[in-house]
Amino acid sequence: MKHLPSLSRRRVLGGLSGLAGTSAFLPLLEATDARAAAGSYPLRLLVIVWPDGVIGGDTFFPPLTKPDGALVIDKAHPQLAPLIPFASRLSMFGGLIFQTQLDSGSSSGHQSTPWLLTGKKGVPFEGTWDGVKNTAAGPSIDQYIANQLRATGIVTRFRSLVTRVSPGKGNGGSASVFGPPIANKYNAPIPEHDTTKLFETLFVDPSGVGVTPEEAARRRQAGKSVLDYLSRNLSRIGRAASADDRAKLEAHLAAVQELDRQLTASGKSGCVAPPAASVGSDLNGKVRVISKTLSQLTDLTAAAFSCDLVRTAVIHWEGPWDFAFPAPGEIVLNDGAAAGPFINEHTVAHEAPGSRAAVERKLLIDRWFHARFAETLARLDAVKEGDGTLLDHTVVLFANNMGDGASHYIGDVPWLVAGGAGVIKPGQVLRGPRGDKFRKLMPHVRLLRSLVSGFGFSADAFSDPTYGDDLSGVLV
Amino acid sequence: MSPWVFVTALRLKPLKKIVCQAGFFASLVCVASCVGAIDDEGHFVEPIPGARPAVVSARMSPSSDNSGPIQDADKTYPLKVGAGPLPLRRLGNVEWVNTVVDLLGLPESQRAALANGMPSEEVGVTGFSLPGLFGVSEVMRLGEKARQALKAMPMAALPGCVGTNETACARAFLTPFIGRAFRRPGTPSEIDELVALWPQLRPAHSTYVETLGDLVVAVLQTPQFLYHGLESTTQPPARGDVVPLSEHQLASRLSYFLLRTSPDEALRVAANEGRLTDLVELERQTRRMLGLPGAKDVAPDLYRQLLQIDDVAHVSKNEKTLGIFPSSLRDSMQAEVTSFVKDLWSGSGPVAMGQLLGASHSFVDESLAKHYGVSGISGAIARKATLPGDRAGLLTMGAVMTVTAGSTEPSPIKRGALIRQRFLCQQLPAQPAVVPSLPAAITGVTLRERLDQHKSDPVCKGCHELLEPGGYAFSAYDAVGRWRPLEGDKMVDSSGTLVAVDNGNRSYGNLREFVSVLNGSPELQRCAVRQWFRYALGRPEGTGDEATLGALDAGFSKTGFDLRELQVAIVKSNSFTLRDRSSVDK
Repeated sequence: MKHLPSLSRRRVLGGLSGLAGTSAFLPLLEATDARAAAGSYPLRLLVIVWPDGVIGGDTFFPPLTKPDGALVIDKAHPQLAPLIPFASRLSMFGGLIFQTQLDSGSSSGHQSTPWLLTGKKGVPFEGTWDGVKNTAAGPSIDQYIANQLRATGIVTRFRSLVTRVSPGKGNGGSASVFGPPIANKYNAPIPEHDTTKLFETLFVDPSGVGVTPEEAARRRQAGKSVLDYLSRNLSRIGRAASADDRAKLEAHLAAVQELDRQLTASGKSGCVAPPAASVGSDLNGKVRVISKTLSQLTDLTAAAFSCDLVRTAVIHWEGPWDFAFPAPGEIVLNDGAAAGPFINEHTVAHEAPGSRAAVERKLLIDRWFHARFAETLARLDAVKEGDGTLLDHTVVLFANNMGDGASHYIGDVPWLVAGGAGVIKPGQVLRGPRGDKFRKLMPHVRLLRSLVSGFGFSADAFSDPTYGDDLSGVLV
Repeated sequence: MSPWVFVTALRLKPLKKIVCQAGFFASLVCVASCVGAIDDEGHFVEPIPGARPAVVSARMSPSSDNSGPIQDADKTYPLKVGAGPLPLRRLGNVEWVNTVVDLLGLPESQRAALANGMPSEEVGVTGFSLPGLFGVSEVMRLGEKARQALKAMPMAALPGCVGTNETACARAFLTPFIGRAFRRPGTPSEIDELVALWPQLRPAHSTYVETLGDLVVAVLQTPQFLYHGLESTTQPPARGDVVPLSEHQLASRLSYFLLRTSPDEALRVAANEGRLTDLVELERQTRRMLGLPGAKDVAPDLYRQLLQIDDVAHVSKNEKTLGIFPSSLRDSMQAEVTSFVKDLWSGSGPVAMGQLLGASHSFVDESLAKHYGVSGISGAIARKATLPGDRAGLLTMGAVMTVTAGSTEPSPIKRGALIRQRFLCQQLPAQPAVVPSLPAAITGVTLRERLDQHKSDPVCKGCHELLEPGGYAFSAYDAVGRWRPLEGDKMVDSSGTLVAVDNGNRSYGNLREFVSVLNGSPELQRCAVRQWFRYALGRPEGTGDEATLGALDAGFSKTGFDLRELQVAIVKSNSFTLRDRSSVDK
C-alpha cells in the first residue's frame, strides 16, 4: 500500500497569511478549554457514507479472526486487502437491514438517507422526495451524540460537521445526499463540499480578517447583537403563530441560536490547523478528482477534531453526480464538464450480476472505496494525541447506503467500524444469515445504539424500542 | 360569442361595458357587484371575499393594513364558499433573489450571481419546489447572500446622514425600507427594535453608511422578510368559515404568483389605499402585472419545476453508447424549455394549452440544432426553428426526454409516469419492495418487447399496464431526446392505448394521435388547472377549494384553455383571496 505522508500541519499562529491576516485566527482558538486540556483526549465519532452496495456474500467477509482479535484479511481479497494494516483495529457487521426505512414505506438504497443514521421509523412531512412521503423522526447519530454532549455541558464551537465530496445542484433524482427538507432539522445541515470554504468556516473568523483584535471584537459584538435581535423577533412571532407555523419558527430560532454559540464558543488552546494551501479545487483540467477532495475533507475533519471544534462528523462520499472511472485506479466526477467516456460507478453497480466483466468492474470500485477508507484511517492515525493517535480516540463508521448494488435493496448491508481503542471491540464479524436474504436480518439501529452507548450515553431516546437493544459484542 | 373572441373583447372594451356578458369571465366580473353567483352551467363561481364596491374600498384608511372592519351588509356566504390555509412558507430561492434584487436596486447581472450557491430545495407534494425548514446552513447561507447583495448595492441606494443625529437618519431610512421588505408597513415596535440595534452596530464600523448596511442585512434575515404569511399584523374579520386576506397579504400573494417578487410601487399603493379587495381593481392590477416583463418568466419556472428540467444538468448517461453529453448541451436543453414557454407568453393573445403540448417548433442554438438534426443555425443564441421528426412542444424536448430515460435507453416507464403524474394528476400505485429487473438487452429484441415480457409477471402487471402506454408514444426518442425512428433494424412502434383516462381507454397510432388524445382530455385540462393552482398558492388543493376548482375548470374550458386567462381566474378565486377560518383561529 502506498505510504501516506503524515498530516502536514503547523501552528495556527505561525502563518496562513496567504489566506487572511494572522489575527483572523486568534479568537477561535485562543481560549483555554478545560475539557480539552493537554493529556485529555475526548472520544469523537466520524461517519463515512458511501454509495451503491458491495459485491457481498461469503467473498466479502474475512472468514477468520486471530486470537489477538485481528481480522484475517487475505492479501488477495479483491475488496478489503487495502485494509490489512488496520485489521487489528476493525470490526465488520454484515446482514444489517434498514428496517426503519422499510417500515416507513421505502425500500430503495437511493432513499435511505433519512434512516441511514437515525433510529426511528419515519414520519410524514409536507413534501415528497424521490416519491417518498416520510422522513426522519429523530436526530442522526452524530447529531444525537452532539446533543447529549451539549446536555452535559460540553459545548464545542460546531455541533456536528457534515461534508460531502461532490459539488453540484440538487440531488440528481435521488435523495441519497441531501435527504428530505426536514433533514435540516433532524439529520444534518447542508453538507459542505467546498474545502476552501470549509477551511474558512472552521479556522477563519470573518470578524477578524484584516482588522485589529479590538476591531474584531467590536464586529463580533455587533454580529451577536443582530443574532440576539433575530432570536427575540422569532420568539415573539412564534408565540403568536399556529402550532404548525410555530414548529417552523422554532427550528429557525434553534438555528440562529446555534450560530450565536458558534460566534462565542472557542476551540482548544494552542491548537494547530492545516495550512491554507492544503485545501483547494479538486479540478484537474476539467476533471474533478475525487480522491483529492476526500483527502482534504479528512484532514480538515481531523484538524477540527484535534482542535476540539467539533466531536462528531459525517462525510458523504457520494453526491448528485455519478462517480466514474476514467482510468483504472482513479475515480472522478462525471459532471458533464469533462470529456468522457466514463464508466459510471452507479451503472456498474446495477449491471454487476449481469456478467463476469461487470462483476470485476464492481469489485474494482469496491476496492477503490476501501482503499480510500484505509487512507482515511491512516490520516487519523498520523495525528498523535498523547500516547495514542486521533484514530484511537475516534470511532469511525464506514456505512454503505444499501446492501445489494444491483437491486439497490437495503438488506444485507455490510458496515465496518474502526478505531475507538478501548471502546470498540476489534475483530468482530457479524454475518448475515445466508439463503434468506430479506428476512431475519439485523436492524442496523442496534449497531447505531451500541455506538451511542460507547460514548457513555443512553440510546433509549435515540431509537424506537421495537428495533431492539444494543448489539452485544460491539463494545469492549 | 366564442371565448376566444370574448377574450379579445375583454381587452378592447372598458370593463364596465362587458360585466354582464354571459360566460366565464362575465361571471367573474359580474360578481364584483353581487356576492356569489351561479354561472350559466350551474357552477358556483366567485363569491367575493370582502367583495365590496369600489366605494367601500375608498373609505378605508390608506394606512390600514387589513382594510379595517368590513362594512358592507352581506354577512353570510353561500354554503359552498371555501378556502384553504395560509401556512407560513419560506421564500423560494427564485423569490428570494428577485426580491432582493428589486429591494436593493441591484443590477440585473446580480440575479445569476446571487442564485449561485443558494440552499437546495426539495420537491413538495405539489410537485413544485419546497424550501425546507431553516437550519444552521440555511441561515448562514442566506446571511452570506444578504451580505453579497449589500456589496453589489449601488452606492446611492444607501443615503448618508446629514446632521449629527444618525439614529434619526437610520429611522428615516428604515421606515419605508421595512415597508417594502416586509411587504407591509412595519409596526412602530418593529421599527423601534431595529433602530435600537444602532448603538451596538455603530462601534463596529467607521461610517454611517456601513452601519446602515449592517441594518439592511439584518432586515434581510428577519422572518418577516423570509416567510410568506407574515404580511399582516392583524386579520380582517371572519366571514363564516372563511377570512378574507388582508390587502397586503393579497398584494404579496398576487405579486409572487405573477412576478415571483415582492409588490411593486403601484401594487403597494393599491394595497395601502385598501383597493385590492375590490375584484375589479384586483383584475386590473393582475392584467397590468401580466404585461410586465417579469410575468413571462413565471410559466417557464412552473414547467421547469413540474418537469424537473434542472435534472438534465446532472442526470447520468452512458457516453459509450450515446456519445459525449456535455454540460453545454445540457444547458442548451434547459434554455430551450425556457425560451419556448416564454415565447408563448410573449404576446398579448391567448396562450393555448394545445400549443404548449403540440407545437412542432422550438428554440435551438447551434449545439441543440445539431443534436436535433436542424441545419442552418449557428452560434449560442437560440433561434426559432421547425424541428424534424415528430415533435410535440414541451413533451418531446430534449430535456424532458433526457430526464425520463435511463442512462442508456429511453424509458417508456418514466415517460408514462410523467404523463400520468404531471399531466393527468394521477396517483400511481406504490412501488413493490423488490422490483424485478428488466430482462437484459438482447440483440434483435426491442425495448418494448422486453417490457412486454416484464409485464407478463403478475407482480409487475398492475403498475406497468398504467405506465408504459403513456410512454410508448415517445418510442422514437432516444435517451437524450434525439429522433430515433429505428431500434436496431426495426421501426419503433409508437402506438398504444392510454388506459384509465377520462374513465376509459384511448388508443393512438403514433405520437401525433397521442397528443390529440391528451389535448382533448378533460382530465389533462383539469390537471392543468390544478397544477397552476398549486403553483399559485404554494399548497395542494383541499376540500375547501372544491368550489373554486369547479369554477376554474369551467372557465378554462370556455376560454379554449387559455393559460393566461387561467392565471387571471385563479387570482380572483375564493381560494386565492380567502383563507379558511380554522387556519387563523388555531
